[in-house]
Amino acid sequence: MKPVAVLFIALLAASFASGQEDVPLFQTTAELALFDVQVVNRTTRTPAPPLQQKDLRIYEDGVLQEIRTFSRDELPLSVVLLFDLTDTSQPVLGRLANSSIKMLAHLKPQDEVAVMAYAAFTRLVGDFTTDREKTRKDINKAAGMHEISRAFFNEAVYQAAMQLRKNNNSGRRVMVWLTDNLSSLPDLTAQAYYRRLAPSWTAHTEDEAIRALYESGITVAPLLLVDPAALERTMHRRAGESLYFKFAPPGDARKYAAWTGGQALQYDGKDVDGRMAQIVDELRSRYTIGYRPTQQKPADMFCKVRVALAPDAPLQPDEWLILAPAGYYRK
Amino acid sequence: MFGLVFFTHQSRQCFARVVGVTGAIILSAGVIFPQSASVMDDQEAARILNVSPWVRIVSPTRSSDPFQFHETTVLWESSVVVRQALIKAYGPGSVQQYGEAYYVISVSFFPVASGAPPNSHANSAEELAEELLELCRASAHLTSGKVKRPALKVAPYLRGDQRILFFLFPRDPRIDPGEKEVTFEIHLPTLGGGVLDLKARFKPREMVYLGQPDL
Repeated sequence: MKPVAVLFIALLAASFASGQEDVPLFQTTAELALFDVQVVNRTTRTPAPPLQQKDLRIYEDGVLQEIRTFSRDELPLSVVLLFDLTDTSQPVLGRLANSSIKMLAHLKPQDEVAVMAYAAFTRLVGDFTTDREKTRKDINKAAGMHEISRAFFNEAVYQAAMQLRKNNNSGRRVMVWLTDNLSSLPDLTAQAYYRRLAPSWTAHTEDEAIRALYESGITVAPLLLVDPAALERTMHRRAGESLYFKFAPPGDARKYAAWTGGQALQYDGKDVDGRMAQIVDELRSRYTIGYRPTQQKPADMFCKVRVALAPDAPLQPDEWLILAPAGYYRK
Repeated sequence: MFGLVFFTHQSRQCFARVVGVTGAIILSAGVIFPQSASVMDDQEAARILNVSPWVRIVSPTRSSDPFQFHETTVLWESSVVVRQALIKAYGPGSVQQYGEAYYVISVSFFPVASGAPPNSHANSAEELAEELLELCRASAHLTSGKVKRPALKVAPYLRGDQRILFFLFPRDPRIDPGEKEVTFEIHLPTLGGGVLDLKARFKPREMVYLGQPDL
């Protein structure tokens, strides 16, 4: 997914050389809204059989758009591996790291990976690189970190989004987020505490984080640890905090995935290798579709996007679910 | 501007004549008492929210152990003067609208997570949170004279850095402004079997704002 990317002819030609019929290749100012889309079985959540361009419809603010580009796994991936360092995630960090390293084998050589880690503070452990050996070291470094503190999810997502944006890569942007999804209330008391520790410390809100994701066209793909013992152990504390979540949303990996068209997978501490591989394979099998918006709209306006199966598509909507971002901001 | 006329029981007689005259002048001039916080300065607002008849700073205690809980602020939030002070201190969006049917008491930093709902069926933190709210509601009373009012509703709110619980009590029957004392109490069953007690005593006779009882 990469909304309203201004792509020049050379990039268009290079990226969409195959399967294109009517992209006006010699239009240097053409704005193209690009989105990563996945079609999965509603029950099994497994990807659908291969689809063609004519099988999908895309609407912007309710208006049908003409799909100008359609591809599958042609653009390279820019992946941020985001590690949750909090206490409840610590017991599985080593296994997650090993699985993440194995997962690298599922990437293409041109795909690049950065490693970040967070609890109360978000850190860039290793910047984007296609050097797998460096990424392996970065992953091991992240797995060796430990921070006894609260976990501020929105800030981590925001910082990871900024890292992906700064990278300025023309490929698909993805956040593979390894977490137990147990966030902390980002109230003012907590913020004051961490600002005393580090004056430059920031705590972006959920709204700011989701906007950063939309602006950079990032798909969030969380791998969620489900640990019943940790859930039971922390339930009272989390219940007390959750009373106030609606006033200061702490960030929910499932919601971030839903908003950006990603898919949240769960694991119980076992078969981490399989789940990590599944995430990458799922990302690989996504469709990139693009259109030129037909309506003039002011810059900075949020445009809602809806992707649907065409009426004559071989798949039925009651069986198949389309995962797509909720929209994008006009530039 | 009229400024804030603020009474304590002790000073009431001293100010009564002044307020009476002021009130008569205002009413005869057809002026409505100001409802905005603009007449209140920051110091007055802070005083009302920290040291006034409408606020009590108390620490909960637990019967089973000597654990020292964080101090809680218990605020008579349905009073006009407190609402004006809150608007002054935190802005217009800081006051919740619950209508005139309730006495509203807010408690900040109450250790709600200590509660142990009986026969809990909660499978998630969110479900447990709902059970904790109901437990708080069932554990709270507002007593004046022989009338013991159960809380009708409990609602959470985040105001600045304060985690707040609002306790709503029916205004019917009304509290007699001449009542010597009104007591807000919570007796919360907690994890480990003890009971967490919180008690705040208010004096309605002192809770007078602009010459009127203000509850």
